[in-house]
Parts: sequence; C-alpha cells; structure tokens
Amino acid sequence: MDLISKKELLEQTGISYGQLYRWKRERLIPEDWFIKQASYTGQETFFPREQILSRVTAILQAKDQYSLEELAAILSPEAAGAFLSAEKLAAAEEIDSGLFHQLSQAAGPSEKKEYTLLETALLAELSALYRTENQRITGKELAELALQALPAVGELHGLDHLCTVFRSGERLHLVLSRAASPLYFDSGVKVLLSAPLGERANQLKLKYPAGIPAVQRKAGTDHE
Amino acid sequence: MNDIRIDGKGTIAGGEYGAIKVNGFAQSEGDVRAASVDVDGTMNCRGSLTADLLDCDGAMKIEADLRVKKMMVDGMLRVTSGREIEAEELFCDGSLHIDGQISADKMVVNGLIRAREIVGDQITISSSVGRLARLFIHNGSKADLIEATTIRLSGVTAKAVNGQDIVVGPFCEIDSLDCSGTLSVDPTATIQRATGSFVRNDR
Repeated sequence: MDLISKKELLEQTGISYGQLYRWKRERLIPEDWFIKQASYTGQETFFPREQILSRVTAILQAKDQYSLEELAAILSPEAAGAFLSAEKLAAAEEIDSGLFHQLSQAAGPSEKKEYTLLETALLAELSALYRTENQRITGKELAELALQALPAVGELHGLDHLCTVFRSGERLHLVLSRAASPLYFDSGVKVLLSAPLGERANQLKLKYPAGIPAVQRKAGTDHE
Repeated sequence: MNDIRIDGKGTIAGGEYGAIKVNGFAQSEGDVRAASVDVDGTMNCRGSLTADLLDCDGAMKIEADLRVKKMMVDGMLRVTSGREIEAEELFCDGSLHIDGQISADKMVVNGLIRAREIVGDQITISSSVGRLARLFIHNGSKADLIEATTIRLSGVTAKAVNGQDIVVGPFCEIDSLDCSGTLSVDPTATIQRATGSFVRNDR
C-alpha cells in the first residue's frame, strides 16, 4: 500500500494538527487509517495515501457547506434507510438509464420505490460495468443479476464491502464480501468487476447529501 | 432521562442518564452515557463513559474509553485499559493519567498529566514546580508524544513534540522537537534535537 507520512500530509494539504485530530474525533477520518510505523526518528504515523488525500479534499470542500456533525453523518459508515427515490435514481447520471429501465421491467409490480445507499452504490457500479462492457454483457442479464443481488445488499451492515461480478459457464454471478477479505478464483472464472462499494457510496453521499437522514432533519428544521 | 444522585454507596447500570452526581462511592457497570457527570466522591467506571460535561473534583477510575465535550479535573482521573480520552475542551488542575492517547481541541493543564500521546489543537501544560520543591518532586508531566497546532509547555518531559507554534518553558526535557512555525525555548529547558523550518522567537 502506498503510504504518506503525517508531516507530508499536513504540508501537502495545508491542514493543521488540530484539524486532523478534530476530524479524527468527529469520526470523519477512520482510526484504522492511522498506521504507526517505526522510523529513524522513533515512531511515526502514516496514512494510506490515496484514501486520506481524497478524504481530506472532500472534507475541505464540504466543510463550509455542512456542520461537522452533518459531515460526520455524510462520511460515516452508517447506511441505513432510504437514500434515493426511484425517480431520482433514474435521473442520476451514475445510473445507466437503459439498465435501469430493464431493471424496472424485470422487477414488474414488485419494483422498489426507494433505494438505500448501498443499493444505489451497487447499481452505480453495475451501470459503470454495463457502460464499459456492453459488448460482452447484455442489459437484460445484468438487470436480472441486479434484481437478484438487491435483497442481499439489504442484509449488509456498514459500507466496507467488495462487489465482485463474474461469469461462470454461461451465467453471470455477483458476490458481496468484506472489503478486507478479497476473493480468489480459479482460472475458469472470468471476473468482470471487483469494486469497493464504500468508495462509490461515499462519492454518492457527497453528491446527493439530501438522502442522508441527519441532513434531512437539519433541512427540515431550517424551514420551520 | 433519569438523573442519578449517589451520596452513599451505589451502583450505576449501563445506559443513558441525565445528570449523574456522585458524592459518595459509585461504581458503574457497562457503558454509560450522560448529559453531565459530577464526581465529588469516588467513581469507578467498569465500562466506557460518554458525557457532555464531566466535572471530577474527587477521584475517578475509568476502565475503558472516555469521550466528553468538556471536562474539568480538579481531583484525580485515571483511565486504565482504555485507549483514549476524547474531549473538545479539557481543563485539569489535578492529575490525569492514561496509558493511551488524549485528544482534545483545547487543553489547559495546570497539574500533572501522564499519557502516551497528547494531541489536539491548542495544548498548554504547565507543571512547573519551584526550585526548592524540585529537590523533592521528580515526577512531572510526561508523554511520549505531544502534537498540536499550538503548544505551550513547562515542566514537561516528552520524547517527541511536534507542532506549528511551540513555546518550551522552564524545566522541560524534550528528546526531539519538530516545529513548522515559531519556536521559543526557555534557557532552563533542554531539547536534544530540533527539526523543521521554524523561526526562533526566544523571549
């Protein structure tokens, strides 16, 4: 893993020690990103470079717009509850409209009215897959796969999950696993997609913060 | 939420409370959340403690993490087997002891503090004892690492001190110091090694 030292992080992003530790206390930066390693000056703290830089940038961008509490809600791994309605989902650019249309056709009368954050993230990943691989995958089989996978997503807790789509024989399959434990397949299996849902979910949260319950409550009190 | 007042001896079950006031001896079992905790007697927490306000004039022992908005310690507070104390504001005129990390936005210590790491935004620790008393008292405030935006220390022994603006006051003993803003050092303080692009601003 590519690491960045604490000092380098502060120099590169221009944040202070105070901000870094405040954000850690507010759970905006996960504790397991603070990696202690021995160095020639004693002990030093390192961070996973890409993750921390994108997180700090996200916090700096959003901090004027939201309070720390709201930000924590946006960035925290809590994912319960409805995130986007079916109409908003269909309009979102992350969701392929062709695929979504197929999905609602395949679902028929049992089509969902509201989607949770993880479900939205899953559909966004499948849409991205569909857009790049539409030569090899038909919208119909992907829609059917999504329909079968959605109930399984509902059972997950937290955001740290890996979504793996693979083809075995003629059929397309999807596996959800903990992000920390990657899957290894035999050579007969063709892996089409292996994407961390948490990353996608965090992007979606920053883009559509109205779906976060804490932000909804805040918006509600502002109107009164 | 219920308020609890213990004047004699009592046990507090884990859960959520309003105001907890301990004048006698209390023991909590499980994780406790409260709006305020005021200890003038003795309190042992067998689980974590989360509160908006903690005022400890007596003695407290916490066997897990402590998370508060504001805390004032005029007595003694010890965190054993917990990993961290998290506070927005921390004022200590008594003694504070943890074998882990203290993280606070604003920290003012005029007593004794011992921790592995003390981190935050503005940290002031003055544990100076007079020249005469120094003959008898050898154990001042100690930490492996003190790291914050602005740091003012006196009578503190630390392995590493990192910050933007640092004032090293009398009788500090520091192994390595890294400073990116201004640094001022008292003549009675010793610093083994100083790094960073700082401006000396000795008084």
